[in-house]
Amino acid sequence: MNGYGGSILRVDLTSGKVSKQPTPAEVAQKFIGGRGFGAYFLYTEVPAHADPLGPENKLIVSSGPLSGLMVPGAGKCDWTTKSPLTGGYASSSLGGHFTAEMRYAGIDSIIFEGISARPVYLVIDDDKIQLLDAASYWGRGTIEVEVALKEKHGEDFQVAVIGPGGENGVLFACINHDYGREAGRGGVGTVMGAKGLKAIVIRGTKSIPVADMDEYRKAGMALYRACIEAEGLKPWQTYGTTIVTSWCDEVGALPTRNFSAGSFEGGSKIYGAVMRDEIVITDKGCFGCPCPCGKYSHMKRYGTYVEGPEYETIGMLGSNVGLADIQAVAQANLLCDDLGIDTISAGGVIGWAMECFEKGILTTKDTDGLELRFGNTEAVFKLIEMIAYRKGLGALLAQGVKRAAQQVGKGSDKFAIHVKGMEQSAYATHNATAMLLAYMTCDVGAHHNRSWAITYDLQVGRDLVVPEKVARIIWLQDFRPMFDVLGSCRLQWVELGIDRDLYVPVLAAITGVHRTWKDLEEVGARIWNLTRMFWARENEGFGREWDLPATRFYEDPPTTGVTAGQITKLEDVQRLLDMYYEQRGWSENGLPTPETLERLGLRSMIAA
Amino acid sequence: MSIIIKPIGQLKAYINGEKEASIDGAGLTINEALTELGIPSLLVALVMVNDRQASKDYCLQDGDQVLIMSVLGGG
Repeated sequence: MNGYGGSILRVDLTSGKVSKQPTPAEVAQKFIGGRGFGAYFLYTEVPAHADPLGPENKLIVSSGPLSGLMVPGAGKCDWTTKSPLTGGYASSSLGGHFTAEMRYAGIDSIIFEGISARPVYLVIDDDKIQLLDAASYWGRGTIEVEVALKEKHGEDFQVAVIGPGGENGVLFACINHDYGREAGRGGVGTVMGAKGLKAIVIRGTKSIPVADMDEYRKAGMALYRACIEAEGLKPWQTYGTTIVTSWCDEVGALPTRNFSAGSFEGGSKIYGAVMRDEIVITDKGCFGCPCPCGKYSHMKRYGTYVEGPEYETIGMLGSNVGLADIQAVAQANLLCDDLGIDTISAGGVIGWAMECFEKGILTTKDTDGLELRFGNTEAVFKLIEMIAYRKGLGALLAQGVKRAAQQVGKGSDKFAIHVKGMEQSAYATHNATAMLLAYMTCDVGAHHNRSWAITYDLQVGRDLVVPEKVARIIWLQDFRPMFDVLGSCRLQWVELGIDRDLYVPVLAAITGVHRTWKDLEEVGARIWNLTRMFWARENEGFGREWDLPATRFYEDPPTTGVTAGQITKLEDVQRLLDMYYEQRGWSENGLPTPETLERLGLRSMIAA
Repeated sequence: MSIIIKPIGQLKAYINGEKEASIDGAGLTINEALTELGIPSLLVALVMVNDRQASKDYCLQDGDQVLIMSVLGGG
C-alpha cells in the first residue's frame, strides 16, 4: 500500500508477545492514519467500560502517510487511549522524530495492551523487536533515561519515555521525547505507566513506498518553498508560539490567577521578546521542519536548560499561577518535563489550589505548611514535585482539578476550570464565544488546538452568538486535526499561512489516492463523530451537561483587566450548543443521530 | 519622516491588498500609526520594528522598518 509502512505492531505486555499484522486497507481508506487509526482501534478494540488503567485499555501510537517524508514538519504521531483523566477519548500529538523511525521500521501503528508484571521497555530495530527489563530505569527522570537509552542502543534511535508522573499514576502524566517534546494531554503517559512500560526505543532503515516519486519530490519542494518564502517566517522562527503572549494579555485571553482574569499585571515579564532576550540560546525543530519554532533556553539562575517554554506553559505555569518571571516559568517547565506531567493540567490544578488557599478552603494544615499564594515560585516548584510523587496535597492534585474539587467541595467546583475533566488550556474565554464553544465541544476536553478562533472572535464581534461562529468552529474541528491524521505539523498552515491546497498533490503522489480537502474534512467529521460515540458509550448519561464550560465563564466576570465585567450568559452558552448540535446533525442532547452516523459510514461500526 | 509598514497575511486587506504602506510617522506610536491606516489594533498580535518585537506604544523613528502580523490560527 503506497504511503504506508505496511504493518500494525501488537505488543501484549501481559504475555510479553509481539506480533505484526498488515495494515488493513479498508481502515486506511476510511480513516487514513494517525489520529484516524487511533480512533478506529480505540472504538473497535477496547471493550466498553474498560478500566483506563487496566489491561483491557489500549495505548495506540500511529504515524500518518506524510510522516517521515519530504513534507515540512512531517514528524508527528498520535497517541490515543481511553483517558484516565476524563474517562473518555484521549488523543495527544507528539512532534520530534519518533514517527519518522516508526515509518522507516515499516510500522503504521503500535498497539499496546495488557499489563507487564515488571517494568519493561520496548526496543524496535527494524524487524528485531524485544521487550527488555526496565527496572534500572524505573523511577528516574525522562531526560536522564533518554540519554541513557541512547547511549546503550545508539544515538540514531529515537526514544519515547515516561517519568515518575506516569509511573506513579498522576492522571495527567505525559510521554516525553527528544528531551523536551511531549504527548501531553489526557493522561497518555499514565496509561503507559499503568502498563509497566517505561520507554519505546526505535530505529528503522527501510524505505517508505511512494506512488509517484517525481510528483512527490515536486509537490514536497513546493511546500518547502512556500514555508521559506512566507512573509511571517522570520517572526515565527524568532518567537515561536510565544508570539501570542503579549497579544493575549492585550485582548484579555491570557489566563490569570486561575482564569479569574484575562490580563496579567506582570505580563510584560513573560512576553516572547523578554524570553528571547533573557533565556533563549537557540531554536529547535522537529523532523523535516524548515521553520523550527521550538526554543532551547538556559535558566542561569538555576543552572539548567529546557526546551521551551511554549506559550501554553507560559500561560498556565506563568500568569495562571501568578508568576511574573520567565526564568521561574522555564524552570517549572523543566520540572514537569523531567517528572513527566502535563504542564497545562499542572498549571490548571495548581491555579485552582492557590485560589482555594487564598479563599481559606485549603490551609497550611492541608499543604504541609506551604503558602499557596499566587506568585509563590517555590510553592509551584514544590507542588509539581508533590504531584509527580503523589505526596501530601500532591496526591489530591494528581487526580486532576475535577476530582480534586469534588473531594474538597466548599464551592471549589465553581472555579475548577475544566471541560469533561480536562483542565482548560491557556486562553481565557470570559468574552470570546467562538473560542468558548471550541473548548466546550473539543473532542478530548478543554483543549485549544482543534479549533482556535480568538482572532475570528475579535474580527466579527467577541460576544456575538450567531450560526456563522458555530459553522466556523465545526469547519476548524473537521479540518485542523486532519494534520494529526496525516502525520504532519499543522503550524505551517496555522502560523505561516501557507496554502493548504499544496498538501493535496503531495498526499496524492505519496498514497496514489487523490483526496481534496473536502474529502479530508469528511474523514475529519467521521473521526469526530466516532470519538463522540466513544464518549457516549463509556459514560452513562453522556450529553449536553458534559459540554458545559467552567462555571466561571458564565457566572464570574473578571474584576480587572481588559475583560473586566464581561461574561457570557448561560442562556447564550445553551444557544451555542443548540446551534452546534443542529449543524453537526446531533440530537438536542448532543449525540450523533442515526442519519448522521449513516452519512459518515459509521452506522455498522456503532451497531456492532 | 516616512515610515514603511508591512502587514503580513490577512492584515494586507486593510491596505487594499498592497504589500506595504507608507505614512508620515513623525512622533507617532505604533497604535497611532495603525489607527491612521485603519488597521484594528486588536487584530495585530505582533509588531516587529527592525526585526525585534516592539510594543504598540513604541514611538516611531526615522528609518524604522515595521512589520505587523496577526495570529491566523493560534496554537
